Amino acid sequence: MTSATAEGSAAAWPAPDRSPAADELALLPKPQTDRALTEQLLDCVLKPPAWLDRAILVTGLGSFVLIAAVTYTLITGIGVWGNNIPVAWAFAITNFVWWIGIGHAGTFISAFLLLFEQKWRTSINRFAEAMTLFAVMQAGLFPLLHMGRAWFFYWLVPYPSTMKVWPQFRSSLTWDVVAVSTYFTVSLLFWYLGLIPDLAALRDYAKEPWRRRLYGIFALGWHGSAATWRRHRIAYGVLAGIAAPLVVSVHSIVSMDFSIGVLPGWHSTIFPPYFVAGAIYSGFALVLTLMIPARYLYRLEHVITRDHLEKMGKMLLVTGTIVTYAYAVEIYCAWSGGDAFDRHMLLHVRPRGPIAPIFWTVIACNCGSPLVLWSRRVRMSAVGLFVVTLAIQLGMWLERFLLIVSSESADFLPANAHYYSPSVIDIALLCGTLSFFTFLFCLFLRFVPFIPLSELKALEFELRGRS
Amino acid sequence: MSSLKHEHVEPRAGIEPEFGFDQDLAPSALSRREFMQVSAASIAFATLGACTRAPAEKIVPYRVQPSEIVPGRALHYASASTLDGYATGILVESHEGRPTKIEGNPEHPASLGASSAIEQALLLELYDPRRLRTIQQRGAPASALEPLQALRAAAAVERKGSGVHLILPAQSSPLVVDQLKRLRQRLPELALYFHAPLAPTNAWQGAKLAFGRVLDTRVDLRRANVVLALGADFLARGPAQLALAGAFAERRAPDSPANPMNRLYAVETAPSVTGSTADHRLALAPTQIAAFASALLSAVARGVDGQASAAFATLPTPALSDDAARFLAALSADLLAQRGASAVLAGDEQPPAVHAAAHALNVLLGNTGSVMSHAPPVVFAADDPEFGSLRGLREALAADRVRTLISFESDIAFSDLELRGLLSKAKESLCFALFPTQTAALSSWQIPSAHALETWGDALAFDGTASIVQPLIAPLYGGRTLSEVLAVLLGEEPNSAHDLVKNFWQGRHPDDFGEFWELALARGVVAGTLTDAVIAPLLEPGWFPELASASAGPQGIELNLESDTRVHDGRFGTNSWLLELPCPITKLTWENAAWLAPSLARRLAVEAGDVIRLRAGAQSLEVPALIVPGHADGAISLALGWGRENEAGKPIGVNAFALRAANARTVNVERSGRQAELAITQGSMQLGDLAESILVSSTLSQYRAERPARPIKKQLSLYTSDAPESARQWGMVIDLNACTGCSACVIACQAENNVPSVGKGGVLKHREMHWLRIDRYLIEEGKTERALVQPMACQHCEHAPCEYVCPTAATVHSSDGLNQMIYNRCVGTRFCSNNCPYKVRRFNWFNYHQGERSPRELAENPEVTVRARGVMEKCSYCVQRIRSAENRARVEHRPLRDGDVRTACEQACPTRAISFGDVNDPHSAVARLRQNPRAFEVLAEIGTAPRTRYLMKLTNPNPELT
Amino acid sequence: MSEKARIWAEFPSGAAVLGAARRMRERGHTRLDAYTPYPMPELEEVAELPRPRLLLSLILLGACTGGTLAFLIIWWTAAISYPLNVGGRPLNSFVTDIPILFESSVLGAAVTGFIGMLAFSGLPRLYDPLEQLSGFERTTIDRFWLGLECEPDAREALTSELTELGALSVQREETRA
Repeated sequence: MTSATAEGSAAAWPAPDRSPAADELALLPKPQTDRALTEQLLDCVLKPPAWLDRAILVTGLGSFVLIAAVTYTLITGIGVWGNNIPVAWAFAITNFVWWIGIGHAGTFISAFLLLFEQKWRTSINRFAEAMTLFAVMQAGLFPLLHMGRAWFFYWLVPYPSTMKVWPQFRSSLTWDVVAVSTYFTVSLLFWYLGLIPDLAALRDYAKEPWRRRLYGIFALGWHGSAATWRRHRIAYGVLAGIAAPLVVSVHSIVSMDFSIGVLPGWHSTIFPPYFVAGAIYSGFALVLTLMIPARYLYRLEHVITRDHLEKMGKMLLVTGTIVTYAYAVEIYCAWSGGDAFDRHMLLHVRPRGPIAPIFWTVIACNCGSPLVLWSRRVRMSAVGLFVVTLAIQLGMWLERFLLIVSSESADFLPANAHYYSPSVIDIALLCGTLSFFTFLFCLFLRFVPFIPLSELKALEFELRGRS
Repeated sequence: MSSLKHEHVEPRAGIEPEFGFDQDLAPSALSRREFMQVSAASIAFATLGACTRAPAEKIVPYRVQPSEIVPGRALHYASASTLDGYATGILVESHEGRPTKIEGNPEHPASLGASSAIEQALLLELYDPRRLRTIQQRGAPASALEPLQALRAAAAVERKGSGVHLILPAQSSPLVVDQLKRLRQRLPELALYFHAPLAPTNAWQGAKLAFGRVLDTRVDLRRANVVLALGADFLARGPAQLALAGAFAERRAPDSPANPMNRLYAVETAPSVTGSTADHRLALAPTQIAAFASALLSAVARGVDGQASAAFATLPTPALSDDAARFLAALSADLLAQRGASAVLAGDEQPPAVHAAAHALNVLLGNTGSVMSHAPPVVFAADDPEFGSLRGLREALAADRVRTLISFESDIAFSDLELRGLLSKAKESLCFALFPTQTAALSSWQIPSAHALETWGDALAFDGTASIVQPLIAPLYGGRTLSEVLAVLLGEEPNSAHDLVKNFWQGRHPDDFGEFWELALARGVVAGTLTDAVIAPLLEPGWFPELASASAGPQGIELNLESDTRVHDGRFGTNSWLLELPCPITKLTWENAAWLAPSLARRLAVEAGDVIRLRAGAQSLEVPALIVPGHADGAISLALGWGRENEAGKPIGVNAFALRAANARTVNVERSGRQAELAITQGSMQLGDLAESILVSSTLSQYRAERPARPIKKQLSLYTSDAPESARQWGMVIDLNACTGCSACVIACQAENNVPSVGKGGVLKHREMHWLRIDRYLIEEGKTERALVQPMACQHCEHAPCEYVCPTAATVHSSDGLNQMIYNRCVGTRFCSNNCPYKVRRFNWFNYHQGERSPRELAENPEVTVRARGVMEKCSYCVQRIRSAENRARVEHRPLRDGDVRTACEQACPTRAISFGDVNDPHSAVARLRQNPRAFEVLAEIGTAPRTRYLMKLTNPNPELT
Repeated sequence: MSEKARIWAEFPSGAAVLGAARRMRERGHTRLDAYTPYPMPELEEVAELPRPRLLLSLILLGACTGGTLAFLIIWWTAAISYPLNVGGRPLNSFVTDIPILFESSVLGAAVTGFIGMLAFSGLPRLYDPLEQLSGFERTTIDRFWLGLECEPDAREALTSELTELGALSVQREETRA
């Protein structure tokens, strides 16, 4: 009877094929004991490299630029930015879309790749998730800040109001509020859920009592009984399953900030897929931009292998191609469609107007630069990839800028055609968020195991554990 | 509030009670009595409590008994504003003793209910914080007594006024004229000058050449089928512009068979409002215009028989370009075909001979007597050939013969650079001025003068109709009135301006004066004062040589100095409403620029914004260049009146009077190599191939052939609103055929709705706040370009794109069809502005309102919210007027009638181009016009269903010229 | 059964604990329990842990609640509490609700999932009696524990057997909370 149940359970849970493929072995080249892995990864946290604290200091000071710029804007008014009528949105919303887009790759890597059982995600997913969190924090700043009266931001939330003044839920800005806050919450939960076992390991591994106590609190008393591991695995899987469509929905909604508008160049139904692809694209680029230096500085070449880089390079190639296709379709639709204003926007204003230099830079960075990734040699070389990713960051930022400013600056009535140039404050805000983002990321490296320890051990066991 | 109509307070000891009323209480000082009144008044009122005092004497509201004063309800008082001596009737809206808005007086011949930008902006002039506030002697404060004694001394009879020089603006005031005549008898040696740089002296001299005497010309354009404007911008300049524009527009309606659409030819150097409205426009350099005039005269003379014409047929015809010749041929044929029903108008800038030629043309064509008539000039001393010249004063100053120089509201140092250097040679100079002008700075005495809304007086309209000027408010800074000063010089019993005016008119109407006075004040016009036309026979033309010399083209680039429709002769050169009002032609704000034709700019290798140096005779001037399509090739135009200094002492624009002094016809141009940023509000004037969806225009014949051309079909929509709708639905129709683009409505809107100005920096950043703007487009028309204008404000779309993108429901639709902006719900995401296809929404980038720091706050309309920083704003269809009209109707238990609600722009418009009302009421003008076959919606294809519709622009071209 | 005590065997590697667990299961030992540094699906199978159906259904419920709540709020505020004509759109314009409904459902599901996972696992907790076992703190690093019940008298035999299977130590759990 007992054996029957054993078979029954075996039938319910067929043991997956345990023969590790060669490329999976390549993810962890040399066999390591659990102890070794633990020491190596946790020492990154417990014995941080000297440069890290310096980096934290510098970026921390840099974040004061952000604080100063925000304060000045709030005190004086949006007039300190370069905006005008017609260009009422420019840097702020560009930064918002760019940052939130970057966030998406994090979720994509951890969620989609988990669902597709891509083993290679293991070494990089927490990295990416952290990046998501911090990027969304930067992104969230701008919609708040760009409001003329930012201190009334809570009017976008349906709080119980005796005046019966409710948000207007047909506006994509209210959708944004829900989408971005949901996205942040889910990413946080997902990240933290994955982190709990490693925090527990840190608790048990650390020497100093204060660390044991601190990490102990965040570990929530985790010990890793089989039943807990099981619930953990399932909940993690469910969150991943939720996060995957969430990524798509969030950036689709962000894209609707433009596509529900009537402006030529905005009023287009291809925006949601187009934006999602672009988001993943820029996000993957940023993961690499951050991972390549970290990998070098922490001597983790055998954990984050060239093979990882190569796979990421392929992702860039794919998403980059999708983005290029989207550009082509957008222009084709305008050309073949009957709308004179659309045609003017996409065939004249962008490629030939005063904003043309930006347009061609975007094409060069987003469509041109990834082409070099067709060569395996570039994909395998950290430096080569790093350069390409920087080009893509720039290109994707400029793409959003182009999209917003060109359509606003030459919409319908020729009388309204006015161009835009940013003010010092605009630039300070962008640089400030960059610095603040790096600051948060350094803190993350400083206090949290940035490579999922338990998952890596599990992988090691899967690959070699039985031999 | 009746306590406001108090008898004046006791003067302080040591001050003689005479010389006006309690003028030298410092603005801060409050008597117990006033304190009681002030504390009873509103907050804004209290900010400058001592300043907003009702006049001491009883003034009579416009058709409302003072007993009916209700706090919160505005009263309207009839008065008049004068410019170069000519009066325009105004109605001033007053809230609790504080003037807040100026409208035209429907009963006044020069207004007919309309008003120009300048009348509207008088309000801001009144509350301008830069006004002179205290009497000063060389910078040191002084009491009212001292200048008074100085005047008395100067006016001592035994001296006969020798060494006393008096400078006044042009005068038509019967009271002042009477005083001046008596002053001449009393002080025969007193030298009197009139300072009016833009007075129509050329026209007067022209009439003298033609008829042997100085005459004013009056035109009844309702009778004219063909109009020729020889450099005459009659639709936007001159004392009769509002009346002329109204009459002109009456004949632009294509649908009424009774009076067919007229045809306007314009021959001018720089594009003007009139030229842009014309059916045919010919751009010629100034001398070419004279040549054209003489050629036309001889052509017409040959066309009409009779010995009268023989004299002119001999007139030599100068060579004209082919275009000009074709134009002239068609024009003369048209004029001859419309004898007795045409009009030839010459502009004030044209030399006297051209005016004479115009008179001759009108007489030959039989227009004089039917369309045109003549009358003695209403401006005093207009027949003096020296009128407006200050040469005598210059000589006297140079010879140290000036003992006392009295200048009243005449900034001679600004408009006459030679005098500026000489003024210090006067032993003693008293300057009465509103602002710390250059003249004031150079005078030993600075004495505040009273603003038009602070004074009692009288003035004549262009046709001689007299109006009494009544004050809306006691002088804010104890300003003096001209009649009071003259009374002192006359050594008469001291008297207030009020008594002077009243006594003068009592002298004219001794019996039943009481009701005469009440009626005159209440109506704003004195009945039966219209001066009769005179029959003036044409003299034998002795002015051919002058015409010939005027047409003799000197080699080089001609200089064309023009008056400006905004700052006039510089009097409004610091008025921020007018400075920020975009030029009707170039949309340039906050400065003047040298206008060049594109072809000339190419020849000179000058780009727009290049600073060029204009050299005329000894004078030279550095001014940014502006390339203006449609400008005459051989000339450069520059507007006068700019260059007054701002608070920082920096000139606003360049002072073109410097070049005028050189009195040269041509000018040398060289590039300075510097660049200037020009604050131009409009992005592009090229309509491209978008005309069909933005601004539809056609010709009369075409329209007749294919009417109804464009039925407005309701756009299909997936959505149907189930929100409650009221029976009344507001809407607007703007007739582009009537609109001339004069921009009076822009300032009317600004004044009504407390719209702030943002300064040159703001305009350069494209942050101007005007709720209503005038877009101007150029479309190809043969070799030339035709200008089209389009007033653009919120279209109050039924499917408003701005509404559904607002996350806080700060802009929604009212049940009566208004697109409402709820300021205190707005968080300023600016999504609404992005999504507005017309870009008529404005954002408060900073806190633009100065609050209690500035007297300007007193100009603000208490019916309209002052917007805070960080919120959107836009045209509201003057919702405050709608609601108050609805309330009035409710109180009077009557239905709201069509025309009860008039928006500020509609009310100001001299051509009645704007109609507003209930589109659901089949009998309303708006409902009828919406069904007009010319009606179209801007960007209808987007499906916004705008509530504002436009009527297609039509031109009536001469078939021979197309 | 109540006098049955639980003993815990400490193993150095995943392979060892898995082998031991299989053997014990064959020997008819039920109610096996284990503590490991990383998830071991096979071990879960051997221990016959049930699938957490309740947690999954709660997550589904959370999703539905989130969505429904969102719709009710939008519909009530826009169509009932304060109807306004916004751009000529219907008061209850469902099409424009869809994005928010989706996001709210996701939020509901995610939060329930997270809280549920912790709650069912009795987390957070400050103290676990197992911490009394010597060397238990290495569980999260490189030690694997297999727990099974046995009669007091069978204990020695079982201990030696486990030691053969590679157990580093076998300890008796004092009192299981």
